[in-house]
Amino acid sequence: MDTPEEIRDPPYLRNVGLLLTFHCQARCAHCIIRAGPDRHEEMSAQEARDWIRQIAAYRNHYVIVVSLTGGEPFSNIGLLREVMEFARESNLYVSTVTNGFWGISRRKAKELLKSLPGICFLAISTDLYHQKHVPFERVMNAIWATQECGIPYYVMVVTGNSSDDEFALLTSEIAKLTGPERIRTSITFPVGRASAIASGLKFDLVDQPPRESCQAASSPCIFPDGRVYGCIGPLIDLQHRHPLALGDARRSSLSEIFDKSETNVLLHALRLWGPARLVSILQESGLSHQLPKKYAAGSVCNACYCLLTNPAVRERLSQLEQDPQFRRKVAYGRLYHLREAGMLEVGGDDFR
Amino acid sequence: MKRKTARGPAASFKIPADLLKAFKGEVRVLRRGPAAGYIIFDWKMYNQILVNGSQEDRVTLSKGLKELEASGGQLVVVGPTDE
Repeated sequence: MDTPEEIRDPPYLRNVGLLLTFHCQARCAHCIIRAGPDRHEEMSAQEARDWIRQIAAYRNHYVIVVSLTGGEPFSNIGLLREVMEFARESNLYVSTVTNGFWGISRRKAKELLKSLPGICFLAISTDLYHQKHVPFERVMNAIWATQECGIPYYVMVVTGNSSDDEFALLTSEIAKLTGPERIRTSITFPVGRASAIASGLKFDLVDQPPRESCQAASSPCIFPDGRVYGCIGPLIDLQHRHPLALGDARRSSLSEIFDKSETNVLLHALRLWGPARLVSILQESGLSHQLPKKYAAGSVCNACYCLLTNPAVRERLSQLEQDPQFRRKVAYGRLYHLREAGMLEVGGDDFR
Repeated sequence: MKRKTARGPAASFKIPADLLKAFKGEVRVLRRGPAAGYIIFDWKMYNQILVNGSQEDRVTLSKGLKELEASGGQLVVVGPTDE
């Protein structure tokens, strides 16, 4: 039996995401980015290659993995293949998220994966929302094919409540093929398309935000229009400027954007202590009345999103970003907890 | 695999005593990696990338990495310096 997996902080910027397309066969009710069959925004192959080139060159190949996401990256196999091959030629590993719609049969699924040898890791999404559009059998075929091809993988399941009976039944069915250790769960809440089904979501509400650190903010993501976000979470749905909107790859080089993100105080504060710490600071600042009364249980993303949708909170956080004591604490906190000196190296005396 | 530039805090930065004391008392909560979005590169992924091929030496290397991880070691990839 495998020993329990130790959970570690993901190192910053070892993994960069490319959101290849907003197109998806599914129009899941919970989708944060509102992907669907009627969406056709797609990253151009030329820009993808340029950005991959920049990613590979950044700090002399500091980035290890390019993660392809969407929408559904397998929607355009030609683009997926071109991006995958160029990334591999650039000495980057490639991971991909998929809904598994291509698992028409075990044989075809295996043939398809064999034709994409550059994919080093797969995350296969399925849940009660996906299954309204992608039959579970196809997902199981995709999982089987992934196993046959020897590709490491996780199965990502989203639920409003991990105590839900339907969720438990689904994960037990998946676990028969994969084992429970390959299943990753996240909590959905009313953002993006899910805001339209808020009343139907079953998440528990609690008084305090979860105390977890944010791990998603370790990996920026580039969108088809060049926007670069600090994570692939619900903040991408915000129209306002916020600290995790890192830049525009069509206006600035990725090197500039990544270097600037090294000194992004709020982003790294979220990585260190999660939104719960920011909530505490805001309470101490006398802004309790501006904070959410309730939070979705188990969802760091929800807490972060709730904070950054409030203009008064955003204003206070922008002041906090400039506070020398807080900046110093975040910079050395990265050194102590994460063994990262990036803020001190890039920011110098601004953070000491 | 191309060699990459080493990057780490090393000994060039010293944590101020007041912050060191604060950090030592902190409890951080980590949950198993983010589910939605995409994948974080981790030990298992790295290992299986090496194994997922037909070359004996990749398997041998993977075994060595597992032993290293089990003994609490760290993997450092060092690239050429500017000197």
